[in-house]
Amino acid sequence: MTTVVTRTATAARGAILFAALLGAGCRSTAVDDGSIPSSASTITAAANEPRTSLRTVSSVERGPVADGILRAGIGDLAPDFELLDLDGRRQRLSTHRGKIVVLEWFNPKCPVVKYAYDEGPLSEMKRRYAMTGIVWLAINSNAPGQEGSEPDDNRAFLAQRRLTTPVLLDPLGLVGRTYGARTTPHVFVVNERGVLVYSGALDNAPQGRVESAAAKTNYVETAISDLRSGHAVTTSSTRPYGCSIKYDRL
Amino acid sequence: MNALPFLLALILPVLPGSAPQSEPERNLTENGAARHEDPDDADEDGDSLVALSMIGDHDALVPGGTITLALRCKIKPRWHVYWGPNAGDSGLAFKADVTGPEGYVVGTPRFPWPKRDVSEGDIVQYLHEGELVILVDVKVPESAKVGANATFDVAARWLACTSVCLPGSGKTSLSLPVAATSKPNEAAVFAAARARLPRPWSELGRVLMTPAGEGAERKLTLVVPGATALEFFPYLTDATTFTGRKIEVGKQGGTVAMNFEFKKKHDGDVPRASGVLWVKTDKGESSYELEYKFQP
Repeated sequence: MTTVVTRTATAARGAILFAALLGAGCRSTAVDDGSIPSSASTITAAANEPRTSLRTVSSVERGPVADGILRAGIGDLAPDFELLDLDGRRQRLSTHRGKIVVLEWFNPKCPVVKYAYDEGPLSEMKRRYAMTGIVWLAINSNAPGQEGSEPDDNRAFLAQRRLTTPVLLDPLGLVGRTYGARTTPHVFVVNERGVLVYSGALDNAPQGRVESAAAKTNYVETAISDLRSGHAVTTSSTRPYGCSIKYDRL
Repeated sequence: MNALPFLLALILPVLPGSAPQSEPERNLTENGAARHEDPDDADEDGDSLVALSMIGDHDALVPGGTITLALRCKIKPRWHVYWGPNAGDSGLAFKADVTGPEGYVVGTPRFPWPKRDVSEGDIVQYLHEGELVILVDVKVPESAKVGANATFDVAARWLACTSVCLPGSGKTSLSLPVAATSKPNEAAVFAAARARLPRPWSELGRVLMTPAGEGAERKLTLVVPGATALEFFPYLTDATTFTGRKIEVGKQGGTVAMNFEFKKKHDGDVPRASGVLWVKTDKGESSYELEYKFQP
């Protein structure tokens, strides 16, 4: 059984960058755990064929990978990635298979993020979930030089709030683009089997205010609750809100 | 098992303190402007980024009549706020709550068409720069007493952004006398503001409208003869999500093909296309409110 991923030709520049990444910066580190095949020749082919559609086939066990071109979809295996956290440690999504994983796009300078952490739902959610085995990864996809991209700003944010959850740096924005992350915060939930089951806002209350007559709803809390009770996630997609992610140009 | 090799995106960020991170060409916007964070911007006070004031289109309130109030929002240069009906892929919509004395019926704030901005990552935003003028109609009760005063209060909140974003809020008010007659006030400001409000769809004239798709995937194509430029600004609706548009303009006019995704949430939900179509012709620019229901 295979998962077929179609890579379109429209993101040729992304493919070239992807090739450069693997060929240059990552070649020496890609096989450190002995289980990750890295093929420079394949990547070269991708870079040399930017005008044609490239189909990449990978096993279900490994699933697709985040390359900035692939687009993650609800119900699909969450594209795998490996990023460095603020301490230089590698964090790879697929190593958390078997646990619920929350991916939270993050910018320590964004006022909507600050509100979520200081007065909003994240003021206690992250700590509570950490105690129950849920993995919470914050990802910063803002390009170097952009608001909130400085590692020291990220460290200071965590230190001020006595948080120990990792912040992963995605300066090229390839993981962010793959997941379609647009705002900070923008939250994705991956179930125990590695399937993407939720994408969207933390809740329906920007800056604590529900704009319609609806009751306040924490979408992420609801999705996790659905998963834990063995049900399908009832609300799998909502509209995120917050600061735009300041991606680098591909 | 697999003929093609497995690809792994091992994406390593530049470690703090290691290689230089800035390449000039990487940090430019489409128009070449610098996009880097300006440290001074982060020190701004979000409340002071938008200066609020309110005026009426007449100098007095006439019992039984209607007056239009204009909330003038002067936005600091280089900053923007977001369209009230829909901020787009990011940001927070500008909110203005207008209240008046008991018996006065305050209408819904009406926003001019916004500017569409697309940033890296295909993040589409609908925003306002410079001055945003929001109009609100107020029905004056028959029982209003001539000689009395009525005060209207506005509480507004916004997210203002440039290279950084800051939340802000502000209040303003306007007191007007109740009189048997009134005179127009600030006519030029109101004329300009009304010209930028969406007009009824029926005023657009001849348009070829072609729906397509079924189930969750819906498409609506509009052909507007004589258009030299077009844009569509979607409203947010519960069950139908705007997922993109393609615009083509030729010698005969313009075409906008819009895609929507329908997800029924409640009984009675039907797929629909709603928003504001902005049209530019040789005669000028105007906008029209679209409300189209697809076949269920």
